[in-house]
Amino acid sequence: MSPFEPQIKANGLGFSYEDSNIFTGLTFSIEKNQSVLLLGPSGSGKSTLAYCLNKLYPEAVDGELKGSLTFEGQTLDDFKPGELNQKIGIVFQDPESQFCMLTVEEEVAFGLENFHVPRSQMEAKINTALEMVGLLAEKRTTIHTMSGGQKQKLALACVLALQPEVIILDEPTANLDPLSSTELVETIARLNKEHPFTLIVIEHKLNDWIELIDRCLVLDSSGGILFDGSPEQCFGEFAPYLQKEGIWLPKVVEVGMTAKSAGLFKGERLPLCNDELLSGLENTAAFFKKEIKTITKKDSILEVNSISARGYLKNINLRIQQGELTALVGANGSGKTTLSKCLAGLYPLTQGEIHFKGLPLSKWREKDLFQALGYVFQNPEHQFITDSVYEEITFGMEDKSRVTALLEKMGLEKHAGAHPFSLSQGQKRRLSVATMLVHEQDLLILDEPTFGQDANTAYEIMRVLDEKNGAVFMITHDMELVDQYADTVHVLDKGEIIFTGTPESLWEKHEVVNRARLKLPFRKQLQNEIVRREIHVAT
Amino acid sequence: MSLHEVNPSIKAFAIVISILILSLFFDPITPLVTILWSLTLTFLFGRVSFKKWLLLFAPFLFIALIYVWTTMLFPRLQEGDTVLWQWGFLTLTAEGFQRGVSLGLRVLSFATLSIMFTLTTKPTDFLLSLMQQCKLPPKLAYGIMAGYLFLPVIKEEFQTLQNAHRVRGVARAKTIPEKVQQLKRYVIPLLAGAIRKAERTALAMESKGFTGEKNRIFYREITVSRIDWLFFILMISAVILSAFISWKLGYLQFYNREL
Repeated sequence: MSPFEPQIKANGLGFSYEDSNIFTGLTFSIEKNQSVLLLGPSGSGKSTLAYCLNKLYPEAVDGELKGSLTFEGQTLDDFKPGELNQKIGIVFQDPESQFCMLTVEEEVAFGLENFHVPRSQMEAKINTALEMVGLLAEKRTTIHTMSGGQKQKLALACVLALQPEVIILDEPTANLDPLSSTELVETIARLNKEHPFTLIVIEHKLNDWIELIDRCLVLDSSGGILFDGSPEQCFGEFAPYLQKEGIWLPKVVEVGMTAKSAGLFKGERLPLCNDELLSGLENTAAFFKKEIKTITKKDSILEVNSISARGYLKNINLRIQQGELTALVGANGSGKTTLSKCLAGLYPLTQGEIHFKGLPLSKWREKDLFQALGYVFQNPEHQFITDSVYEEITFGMEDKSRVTALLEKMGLEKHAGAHPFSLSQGQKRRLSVATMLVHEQDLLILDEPTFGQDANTAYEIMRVLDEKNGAVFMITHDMELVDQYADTVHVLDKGEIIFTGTPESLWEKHEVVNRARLKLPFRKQLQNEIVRREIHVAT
Repeated sequence: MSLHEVNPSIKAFAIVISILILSLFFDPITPLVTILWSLTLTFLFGRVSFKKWLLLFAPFLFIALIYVWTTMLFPRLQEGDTVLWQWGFLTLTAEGFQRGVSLGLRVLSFATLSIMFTLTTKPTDFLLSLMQQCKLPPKLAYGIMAGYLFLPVIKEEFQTLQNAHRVRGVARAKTIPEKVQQLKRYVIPLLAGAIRKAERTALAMESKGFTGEKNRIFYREITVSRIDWLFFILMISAVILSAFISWKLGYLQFYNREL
């Protein structure tokens, strides 16, 4: 390999699967030790591209790869099966399905075994890898008892143990709570500094990554390259195009865009960090003027009186008010989903009582209950019961006049005849929400409605929920949503409610935010930053 | 010395051979002595919780009792059988009684031996041992391991699905066509989910360089020592001794298509 040869080089790379092109004609190269952010709307083939780079595809699926792809000057065909995986490691999105062994050390050893590492060296390598991610103390722990954040660190350790030259991260923080996400990014940033490696990141939540990245590669929805260059140029100049494609932007860029269109930001290009944003803002006071929602005392629609359930939830009290959007936040495994299912009467209570519209849940007839109370599950597929989108929406509906309006509202009118399972991820989510709007339920409970969605779908869903009559109760890890939409927020920690109040008052309670592994929303971080500066200037 | 430390493949082999030997005989004493022997082993050297053991044993006990009951009361009557008691079409003969008890104890002896294995062997150890001692292809072994880890997930998924359908207002299925329809509704998302998970796990395994290649260096070596073979010989001898005791007491009978 000549010293000028890029580490990875793709020329006219295309991939087709079941007669449809995932991407075509991609030409790019990646230099050694570069940190590349791979962006694109959902379905643009980011993951597929990543899997092609280390030869998982096309072997694993019945796909066809066109064009040429080289690693260190050598075409991928020259590598024996498995050989490349030692050089290019990958951490996947789902912490639940990337392990095949029972305990932590066995899982790390699995990779070493595959590459015939002598047994005498294994122990030391396992210890080093676990030490790097801070999991050495968990060496003999059973994997399924660990938290999502720990599992992702373990997945990283498995990769690190093989000492790869390239590490691909395929949405590694998607399933993690805010603090665990930040911790994982910090771990990766530290490791990358200590032992440089090429990094290819696919990610939605960009705030933490932006400082680590020195290049952006953006795919468009038709599977071509939309942009290839520096993050400054990518977000600073092309942010509006990215937004149109439904690509998530770092919050600072988004805020910069809003400020710019309001004429408050005078920087030449959009800001990439808080410093740039603040120095470009003309009038910070005007910018932070947040509408204070007038809160009128309303009737509560659901009242929870000291319930305990499932041996985990302890003595929970809460009220959901008519017409409000209530958010439930907390760390992975704090019991959010369990609590939400109790509220819908799906889990039996061991203690206490829940009143919905003044009547105990146990007194409701199931049919009536679910006409007045909707629940959107985390995985939309769980809720599909018919063979077409149209039937899905009309199921159990007497007056069918609203169907078309509802389909249009959710952007599904073109897919009315399609099978629900054949829809894209975003469409599935919109459909599952639509089926729960049919009866104009008085209370809608949602378990992470924006999870895994592109920016446009997430925005659409939140708009629909915001406009909806009646009360909305949703679980989320996204503090920006909480800050922007929620009237009331409840914080759950190890099965107990440790805070109830407005988002604004939550951000002031640092011990609650830390204990529940939350993070401040961008707006609040920025305000704190300004305050810090003013103090600094004053002294 | 604990049963947990015995090499899993040899333990399995010992138990399979013991069961094969037991099935040669058809009398009450041979299995009875074997049951006593394996119970002693399980609780003295197995560190097994009695509750867990009982939970696994109960279904076998139930089956055994049904066998005994039916064989006792509806015997194949043969010339010269001693009738102990008769009422209507029910006849209890001494021979029928012995056959019933033999059959019941036979079931229970198989059960106690198998439970002894299950409760003292970790699935991972067994699979590692099968790969290392019995040359089971790693592709199959790791596939089974990943599948084993899926079981609780699929159970959870099924419960979520039931709840999700309740919320949609799907009434509980009562008639047979309704039940078929409901099954269809469950099967598609369950299968879709399972296949996707399996694909993801397979991809994750391949990404760590797993090719299914047979010569692996194992991090955890499962060894075979003299103690393992001693266990094997001990197990086989115990079964043969049981047969010997039965013979001494005059009960021993070879299995002769009594069932």
